[in-house]
Parts: sequence; C-alpha cells; structure tokens
Amino acid sequence: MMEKQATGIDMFDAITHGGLPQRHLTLISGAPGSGKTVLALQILAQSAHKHDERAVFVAFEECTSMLMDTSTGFDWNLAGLVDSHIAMVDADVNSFELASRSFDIGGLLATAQARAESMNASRVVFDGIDVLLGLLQDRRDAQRELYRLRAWLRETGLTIIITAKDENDTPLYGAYPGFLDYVADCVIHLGFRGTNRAELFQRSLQILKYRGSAHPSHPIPFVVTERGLELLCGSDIRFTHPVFLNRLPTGVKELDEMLDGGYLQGSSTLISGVPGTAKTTLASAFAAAAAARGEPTLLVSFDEAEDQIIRNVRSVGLDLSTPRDAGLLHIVSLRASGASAEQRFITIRRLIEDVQPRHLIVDPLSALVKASGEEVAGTVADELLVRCKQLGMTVIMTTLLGGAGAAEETDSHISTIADNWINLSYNILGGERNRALTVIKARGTAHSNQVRELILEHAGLRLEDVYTSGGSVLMGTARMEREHNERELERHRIEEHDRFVHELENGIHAMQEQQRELSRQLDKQEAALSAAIQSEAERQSERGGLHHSIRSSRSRSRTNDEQTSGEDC
Amino acid sequence: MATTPIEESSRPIIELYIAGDAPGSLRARTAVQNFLQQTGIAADLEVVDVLREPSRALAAGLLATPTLVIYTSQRITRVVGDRFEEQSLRTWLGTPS
Repeated sequence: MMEKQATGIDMFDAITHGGLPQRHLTLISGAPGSGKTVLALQILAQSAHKHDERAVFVAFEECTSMLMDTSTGFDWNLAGLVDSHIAMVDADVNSFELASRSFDIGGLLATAQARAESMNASRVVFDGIDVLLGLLQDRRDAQRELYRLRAWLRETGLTIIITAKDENDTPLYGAYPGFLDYVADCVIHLGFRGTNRAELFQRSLQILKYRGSAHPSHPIPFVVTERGLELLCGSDIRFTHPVFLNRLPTGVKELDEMLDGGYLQGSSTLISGVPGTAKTTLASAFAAAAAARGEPTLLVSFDEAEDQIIRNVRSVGLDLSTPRDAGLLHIVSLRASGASAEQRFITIRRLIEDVQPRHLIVDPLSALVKASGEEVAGTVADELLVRCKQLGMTVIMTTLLGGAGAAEETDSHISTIADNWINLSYNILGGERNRALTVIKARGTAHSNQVRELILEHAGLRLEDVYTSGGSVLMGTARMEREHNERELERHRIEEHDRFVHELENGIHAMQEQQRELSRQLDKQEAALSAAIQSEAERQSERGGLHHSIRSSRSRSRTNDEQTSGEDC
Repeated sequence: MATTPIEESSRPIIELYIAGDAPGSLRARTAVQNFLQQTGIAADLEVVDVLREPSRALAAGLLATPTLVIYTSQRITRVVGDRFEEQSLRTWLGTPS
C-alpha cells in the first residue's frame, strides 16, 4: 500500500485522493513554460503552510534568486519559508568544467541528502534534472542514474519530485521514449494548446500514471493565478449535492404558473435568445424577486456595466439599485475578451467564495465560448454548475444565439447540463417583432410547453397567451386584431344565443296560448258532451216513465187478457 | 573547505569528490594521482567520499561524482568527469608546461 503525502493544493489532493506517493518518485513533465517549476514550488510552499512539511528545492534551470523574485507574484510567501521550511539549492551545471561525460549523480544525491538531513526535510525536488542527465554520455547512462535515484530514495526514505521537459523535446531520451515515465511511480504531465484565439492557451494537467492509486486520466484544465496552478477539477469528486423541492418565483407571475411555481432551488436555468430578446431582463427579474425575499444574488455580467444594467431594467419596472445598496445584489462586470474561460471560471469561483450568494446569474455564459471555444467553455460551464449545485445555489445563465431568426439551437452541451431551458425569440409578422417565450425543458417540473408572448412594460414583465393561426403564432398587432375578432365573434355568438332563446320563449308562449285556447275548447266540448249526455239521459228518463205506464196498463190488460183468454181463444 | 582562492604562497589544493568505489571514482582517482606523479607538480590532494561525508558534498555544491575542485591563488575550478587532459589540468592548476 503506497502512502500519500498531501501537496497542500486542495483540488490536487482531491483528485489524487491524498496527494503524491510518499517515499516514491514523482515526475512532473511538460514543455518549457508549462508550469512545472511553479507546481513544484507551490507543492512545497502549500505543504509547508498547511502541514509544516520541510523540503529541499534543487534548481537546475534557473538560479534560485531568480526563482525567489518571480515567486513574489504568488501568494505563498516563499521568501518567508526559505530556511525555515524550504532550502533553495542552486545547481548550476555551467559552474562546472566538463572533463568527460562519464559521471554519476552521486554527488548531487549526497548534497541533497545532507541538506535534507540538516533541516529534517521529507521532500526533495530536482527541478530540471534533465539538464544534468543531458550531460551524460548516452541514454544508458541516464537510465542508470535514474535507477540510482530510485535506489537512493528507498534508502533515505525521502519523497522525490523531479521535473523535466517533455521527452520529445529532449534528444537524450529519444531512443527510449517513456523511460522517465517508466522509472517514476507517478507522472504528471502539464500541457497547453492554443485555443481558437491565438493569444490564449488552454493549460491542462494530466496524471499519466499513478502506481497503485486510482486517478482521473483526462486532462484537467488549470489557470495560473496568484495562487499558482488553480485546477478546474471536480469531475472526479463525487457528484452529490443537496436536492431541494421548493420553488423560487421567477419574477414573472405567468412564468411561475408555467413552471409549476418557479425555478426549483438549486437548479440551473439556461435562458437562450438572439440579441434584444430580454434575456438580461428576465434574469434580472429573478434577482429582484430574490432580493425581495432577502436572498442575495451574484450577477456576473460580460456585456454591460453595472449602472447600465440597473438603468436598463428600471425602464421595465425592475428596481435593482435598492437590492444592490442593501447588499442583496452584487453585480460584477467583466470584459468578455482578454481572458480564457478557465480564468473566468476561477474569477467566478472566487466571487462565490467572497460574496456567498444564494443565487448566481451569468450574463451571458456565451462570453466564455467567445473567449475559449465551445469545448473548453462547455467544460468550464459544467464545473461551474457542479460547484453551484454542491452549494445549493440556483443558477440562471443567459446565452446568446447567433443572428436574428436563429432557431432554438445553442451549445448542445450547456443546454444538456442545465435543468431548465427557456428560449426567447422574435416572432416577425405583419412588420412587427414580438418577443416569444418557450419553456423547452424543465427537469422535475410539470411545465407548460406553450409558446407565450413576453411583454415588457413600465409596470414590469408579463406573459400573454398567443394565438395560433394556420400553424404560426400571432403576437402584437396581429394578436390584437385576432383578439378583436375574437371579441366580435363572441358578441355575435351571444346575440345569436339571445335571439334563439327569445324565439324559443316566443314559441313556447304562443304554444301556451294555443294550449289555453285548446283547453278552453276542450272544456267546452267536454261541457257540451256532458250536457248532451245529460239531456239525452233526461229525455230517456222521461220516455221511460211513459213506457212504464203504458206497460203497466198493458200488463194489467194482459192479466185481464189471460183471465179472459179462454174466453177469447 | 575554502570558498575563496587560497594564499598566494600556498600550494594548490585539489579536492577529489568520489562516490564510494564506483568505477568512475576509481578511474578519476588514478588519473589525478598519475598526473601529479608524472608532472611532479606540487599540490595537496584530498579525496572525499561523499557517501561517507554528505555534508562535504553540500558544502562544495556538488552535482556529480567524480568532481575535482581545484583551488589556486587565482581561482577555483570545478571539474566533472573521470578523465582529464594534462593540458587542461595544468591550466586549472596555473602551472603551464
């Protein structure tokens, strides 16, 4: 099990899970100017400050007084550590006559060992050891000396860091590419390459090898600042962050409704759009709403000066100067050009540390793309979002799309990593440009996918419903015309309805009249019928009385007849 | 060890720094001894084994072994290697032939 010794550079110790291999050999390789010496000095200085480690620094390429001078640009206070924690040893090969190319580095190791023992140092750096090895007769000698170095560190228990130029820059190793890499237990390569802008380089650190340890293998961008090498890492740090369920109002009531209440806390929102579609205004609305709740926001602007932003959004009823004066809004304006995306990232990361805001607005994020190209900007944006997520911060990023009329296309990477994506566009119809807002995606949110019209007024921002007509949305005058038509149509509909109702009512009334008349007639008929039946009954009844008398008389006569029948028959 | 040129009247001092009995160290030692014998130049030779005395290496600011450090009243010369041309050694010792 290889033990590790912290370098004191937090990000580096994080990605290597503890630092560099203790009592082993680490090689820092890279082209001239790639930052090898800075990294080595930074490790010694930081581990002196943080872990009270002592070290010997043997300089082959630059004299130590020169190194001390250039180091004053860094905030490690190297001068204050010299003698107490760091011994600077000059190793000027030019101060020696070279009688023959057959020698060994035993003298060097003895010197270093004596110095290390005198101050109880645990580390020795041989900065630019390829200068010395290059004086040897051939590469076999160089190999032999590197083996000697390894044997020596095992014997002494010292941790060794050597720096050397890339092997392909050093003819010495040409026939045995990878030999230095082979001898070392850990190999850190510092590289840089040009970006799309000639004056800017992207620097990166890559761990090519680390015996017995997990490590990230991809190049990690870094920037040289007054702290030394500042890594943009994070990708290999566990991606865990707090998850929030509460929603934060966007500053636009209708947008809150579309987003099920607002942006989720800790989420990131990309607002894309062509110039002039009110991206900054929409982002500012969120800042103003946050300030009203007492939550501080950091607004990093690449396009505009602080006062300019405040003045511009005031015209649509957003007051940013009150929150600024109350310390609830920090506006930092940076130039879009003049620094790489990584440098911007470092700047923003520092601002977050200093200001400790709840929310971050970057306006526009596309300034990073402008500075360093899409690939680098994507990495940087990724790191920034991861960082903010870990801190539970809500992020709004605007991004500028190409020319007017550009479709909903933006840096595919950024739009992938953002949780929400709102696109603002112009809808040109009937000689008007009107702003349209679409929620393209909203993770974890039941959201409306309707296109809405974004209206900027003195009273603030609001969204209007839009009309679709023959497949295109209607806004502005066209929408108003349509609205007028809608109203006319509605009025017409109501009139129609009333007319129909009246007709029905009239019909019913008429029928009821008829019904009453019929009813009267019916009564009459019924009365007539009863009267007829009555009179008939009476008539019958009268006739019945006569008949009876007749029959009675007849009956009597028949009795008489019967009684007289014998007489008659 | 002297860090400045020695007294005008003194004989040159030659310090030979070696690392144990490495072949290069042995070769250098033989080369210097032979040179002094053959030329009859009067100089004080001291052989320092840095493996035994690392502090001497530190004091001399050593980078390689073998290394000769030659002190004359004129200058200090530090020479790395295990083979020395006679003419060069004479120059460094300030005793041209």
